[in-house]
Amino acid sequence: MSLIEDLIFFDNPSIWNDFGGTSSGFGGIVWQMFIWSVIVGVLVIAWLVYNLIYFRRKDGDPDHKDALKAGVFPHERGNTVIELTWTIAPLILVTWLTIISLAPLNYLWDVPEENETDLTVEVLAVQWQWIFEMPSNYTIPSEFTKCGGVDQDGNAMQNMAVTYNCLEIPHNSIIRFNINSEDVLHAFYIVEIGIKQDVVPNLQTLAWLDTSTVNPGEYNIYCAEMCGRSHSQMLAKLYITEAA
Amino acid sequence: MSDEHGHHGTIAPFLFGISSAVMFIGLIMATAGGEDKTGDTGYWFIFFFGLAGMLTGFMMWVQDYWNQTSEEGEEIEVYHEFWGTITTRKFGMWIFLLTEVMVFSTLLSAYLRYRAAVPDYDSSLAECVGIDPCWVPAADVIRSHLIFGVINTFALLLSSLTVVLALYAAKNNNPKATTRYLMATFVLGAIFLILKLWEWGEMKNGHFWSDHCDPLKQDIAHHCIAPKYEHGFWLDTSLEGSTFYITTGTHGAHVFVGLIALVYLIAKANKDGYNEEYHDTIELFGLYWHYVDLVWVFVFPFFYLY
Amino acid sequence: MNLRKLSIGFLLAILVAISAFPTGNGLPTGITDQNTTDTVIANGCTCHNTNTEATSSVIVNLTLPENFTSGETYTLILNISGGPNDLADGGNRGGFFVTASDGELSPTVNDTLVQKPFGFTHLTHTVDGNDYREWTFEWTAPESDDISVQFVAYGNSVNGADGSQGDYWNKQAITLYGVNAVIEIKTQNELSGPQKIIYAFAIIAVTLTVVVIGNRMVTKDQAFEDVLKGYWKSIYPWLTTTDHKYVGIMYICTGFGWFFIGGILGLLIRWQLMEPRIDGEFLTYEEYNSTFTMHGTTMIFMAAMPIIFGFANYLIPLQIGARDLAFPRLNALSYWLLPTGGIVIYMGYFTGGAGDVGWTGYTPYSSGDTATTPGTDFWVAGQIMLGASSTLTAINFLVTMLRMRAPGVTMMRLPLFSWSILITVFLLLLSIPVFTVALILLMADRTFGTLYFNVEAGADPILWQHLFWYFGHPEVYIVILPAFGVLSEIITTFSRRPIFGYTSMVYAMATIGIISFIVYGHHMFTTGADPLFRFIVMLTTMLVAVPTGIKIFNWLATMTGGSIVLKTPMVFALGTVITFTIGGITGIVLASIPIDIALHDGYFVVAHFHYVLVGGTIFAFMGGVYYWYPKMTGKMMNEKLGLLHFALSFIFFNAAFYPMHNVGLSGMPRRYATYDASLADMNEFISIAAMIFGISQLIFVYNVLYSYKNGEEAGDDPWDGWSLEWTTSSPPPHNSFTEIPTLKIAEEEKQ
Repeated sequence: MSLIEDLIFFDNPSIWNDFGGTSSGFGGIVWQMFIWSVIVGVLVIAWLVYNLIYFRRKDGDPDHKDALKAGVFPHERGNTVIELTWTIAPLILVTWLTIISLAPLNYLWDVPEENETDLTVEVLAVQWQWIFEMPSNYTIPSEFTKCGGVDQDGNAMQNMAVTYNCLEIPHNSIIRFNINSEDVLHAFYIVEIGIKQDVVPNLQTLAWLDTSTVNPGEYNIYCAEMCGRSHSQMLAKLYITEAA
Repeated sequence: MSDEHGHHGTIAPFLFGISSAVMFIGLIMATAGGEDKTGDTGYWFIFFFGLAGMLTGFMMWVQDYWNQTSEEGEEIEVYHEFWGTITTRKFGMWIFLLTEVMVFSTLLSAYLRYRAAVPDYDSSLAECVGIDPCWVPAADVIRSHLIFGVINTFALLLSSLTVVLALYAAKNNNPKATTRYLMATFVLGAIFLILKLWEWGEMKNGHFWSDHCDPLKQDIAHHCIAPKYEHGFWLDTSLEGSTFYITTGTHGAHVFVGLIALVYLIAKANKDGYNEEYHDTIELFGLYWHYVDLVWVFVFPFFYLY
Repeated sequence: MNLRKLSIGFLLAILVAISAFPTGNGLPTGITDQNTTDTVIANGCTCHNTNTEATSSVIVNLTLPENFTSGETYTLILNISGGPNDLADGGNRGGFFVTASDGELSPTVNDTLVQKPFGFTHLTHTVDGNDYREWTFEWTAPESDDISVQFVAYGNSVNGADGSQGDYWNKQAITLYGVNAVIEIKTQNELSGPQKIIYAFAIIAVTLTVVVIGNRMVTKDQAFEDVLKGYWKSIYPWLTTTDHKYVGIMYICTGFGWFFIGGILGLLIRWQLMEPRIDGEFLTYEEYNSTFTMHGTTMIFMAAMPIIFGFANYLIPLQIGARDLAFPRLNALSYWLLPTGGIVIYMGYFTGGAGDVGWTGYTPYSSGDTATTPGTDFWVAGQIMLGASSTLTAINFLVTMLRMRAPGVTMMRLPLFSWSILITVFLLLLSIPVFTVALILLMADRTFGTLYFNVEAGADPILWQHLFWYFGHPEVYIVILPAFGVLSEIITTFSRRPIFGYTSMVYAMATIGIISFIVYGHHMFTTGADPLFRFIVMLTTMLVAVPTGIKIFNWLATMTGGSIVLKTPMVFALGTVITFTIGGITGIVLASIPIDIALHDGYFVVAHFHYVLVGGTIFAFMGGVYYWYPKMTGKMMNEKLGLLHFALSFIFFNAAFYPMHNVGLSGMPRRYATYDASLADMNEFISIAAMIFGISQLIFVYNVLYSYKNGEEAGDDPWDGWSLEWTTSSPPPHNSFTEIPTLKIAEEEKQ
């Protein structure tokens, strides 16, 4: 059944594969989160089931020495060593998870300066469309035609410098996005890759992508912050194309 | 369903609840309803009707205390020493004031956050006479007429004193003095509100600054204010305006509510209702009034001087 | 001759004479003065007083061109025919009056039949023109030809006799469009989906009322007034009560009522998401935005919090050995602000659309013009009322719990549910006022034009997020901590042994409460806020897992070595432990910023918070209902139905919400009214599971109602619990305790 398949085999956002090399493999944040989630979840459920099997009350069982009585505050019950253990162990675990989150975090947030990138795209979000503008000193490769129109003979034309709801960027490049809003909050979200950045009016926010870490092809850009009536239709296409 | 405390059933909470709803519905429809969504003025009647209901509910509520002459039987027995050192109602008032601290902290911090983000106007700066943002505070607008703010501060501080004197008078079985001091508190509070409303009106209409001004220059020494205020200084003029009017307005609303409570206190004091045995209500009110005064001690320098 | 009689007679004669005169005047001169003009425009030719209404058989015809071009002059003809005075030879008289909303009417040059009275813009007949039934005149079109012009023509069909008796008139209104005008088609205002549902419910409610009252009238042979009086007698005590037990029950019932309504909104969401839909196919996208907004606001503020306050109201005085709360009347006010505030929030549905800003109401969308008006204003105002309600409740409970404990009930001998409420009200006190102020600022921006969130004026749209989440995060702990309290009570009782680690449970809850104020930034990771702020928040969010984990382990350790009885409350509690643990784990996943960036505002987050809110709060409090129902009503609930309710709820809750994790990982954003077709299968599965989950709740409702009449007698302590509520009768007497109890300590008790 495809549903079961969907539940078990699914694609993570591609940036999670290794966060640009800062967090990969079983020791990386994604696998660690998954492993520890499963371990903790299984532990809790197993312990619960164990209790239910071995400590069920059967008819005629005598009450424990410290059984409850109405109107009487119960005996103190505890074990300091055990309690300390399950305080310190989780503390170590979450600290570990925080620490291994730092490198990928810096990778994502260390947006390169404009002079360090191969291309800086100006992104404008407005209710309810995306407007992309290439820098004036950038020569758009002639094979970039996905966002261009179609001429009289039905041939695809080269992309313009300003495109609507469509963006084509080169493969194997460092791309920076300068993101602005014309009106309300939006969010720039490249779905399959997992890049997301809120778009805030009066503030320029930044995002970046190293397209050598992803395959060329077609990707989707969604708006990921509630922005009004057509929020679910504020979609754009992203094409990553090999530039000669 | 009545229980033996003397807290009998009462319709006042239900009435107050429904009236608040009616009041809000009237307010919203009057300001944002109608075909064009900009307000349907017929609904102002509903708004006032709701307010009247709330006032009625309040009056029914205090009805219980009107004839009360002693605290005996009111106080619930305390079994844990430490918590019995103040009465239940006083304890409640302190906790309520804690929530009020949160209210004014929020207003003041929003104001400071906005103010800190942008440089203050300075006549030596080239900024502010153009498109660069800067903060032209309400203090600049008021400075030429600061005397009113000073009178207001004095009035409020004095009114805190008079309410304490009223409490002493009650404890000393002096009903006439109690009434007089409470009335003095009311008058001082009313002076505060009237002066404030007048001040607001003048600021809104741009009357606090001189008529002989160069529209391009911002010459505060000669009472010439920023071009951005040439049409007056109101809550929709700028962020300086919004923060000023909302914060001082919230404070003023608290003073107003206090005056309403004072009407009740004065009426009861007038019929010799407060004496050695029964005076806690004045003290509770006093706590609230001191708090309102304390907030002003922060608001005044932050908005009028800074 | 009696002078008095004479003068009276004279007076009467004059009065009769005056009334005998026709009160209207026929105006052969046409309508030439202001009064009559106003009258005709308002009421038609009513001066011809035989007929104050228009007569439909009189036909007034105004010949107009097909459309107009700016500045052109056209010849128009007005013609009257038909009606009782119509005679073939046309020798009858008539009058007319015509206005145009734009352009200029004028008589034809040298025409003596038509006049335009000086100072007026309309045309009417002259004395000479009084003898005709047809008139010709001119009209010059206005400058703009992209507008429409309204002509209104009145025709009076005169019978030829003197005076205005026997005349019949009619009027005709015609719209003439300019060549470039866009013709507006007025569509019938159709009811929106939500309006249809509300009207349907209203009709059902009215029908039920009629049936119930009618039934009573018939079976008890009572008159209508007596039936109403009887119902009023039973309703009035509820309207005026200040008793914590009754206020508590009202809170719980109102809370579950709104839960039902919020649930329907949730099912509307799931129906919309059954498959990708176009705008208006089921809901319009705008209606969908209102639906999820109202669903969230209803569930948190009108379902979860009232249910919690309801249990707190009922149980806290009992658990601490007090007779009532410190301020009973204030308590009643807190309650009454809830249904009334809820109505204000829902008023949007009757005024063009409910608030559509998301339960989080982010600015500048919510402070601007594009959000629904006045629905969003009502959404703001109602929440201000609810904020006042919660603040008053918090004050009440804090004073009560600190001051009014019975002998023996020291702070470290409070039951854990009481502790959870104590910490919860601290959080409420410090967070709700901030939210209420934020709402007031939003209302000021929307209604009075202030600029707090106005981007053009230089405001920071993120300010709202800070204010909201400073409240919003403690808020979600406000709804989960009492659930922890309930779990502690139930698990302890049904393991028949004391809780493991009472002291650490208390400290854990206090720690969670304190940390909750620092972690709020984790809702704002993608906003572009300060990096240091984001790091601190990441660390503290992860740290909050530690005290939470302690609690879960302590519950499990309580069971170990105990003597577990698996009745419905315990089954719910254990189910809650499982689902809450899953929710907590996904919370830790989201706490890691690099992972959150991809998942923020997506369905993974939706899955997380439903696991902790439904799987945590709601399941725990359903367990609480089964646990404390015997205490409140004196009757036991049906075990079999309870277990069935649990089984269906647990299975279908997980079936509905677990796949949302996957949907989120695949990239579906939240608050989307439609989605990519590749996710259709999963969404359909989720929707169906959600509907079954919704329907299973009816078993619960049935059980509650059925057991009230037919349940087994419960006795004081049917579950062998220890806390003080189990020492008083079921239900408790009017003043809750016949005498204030003293809590004993086990160490001092001789076995």
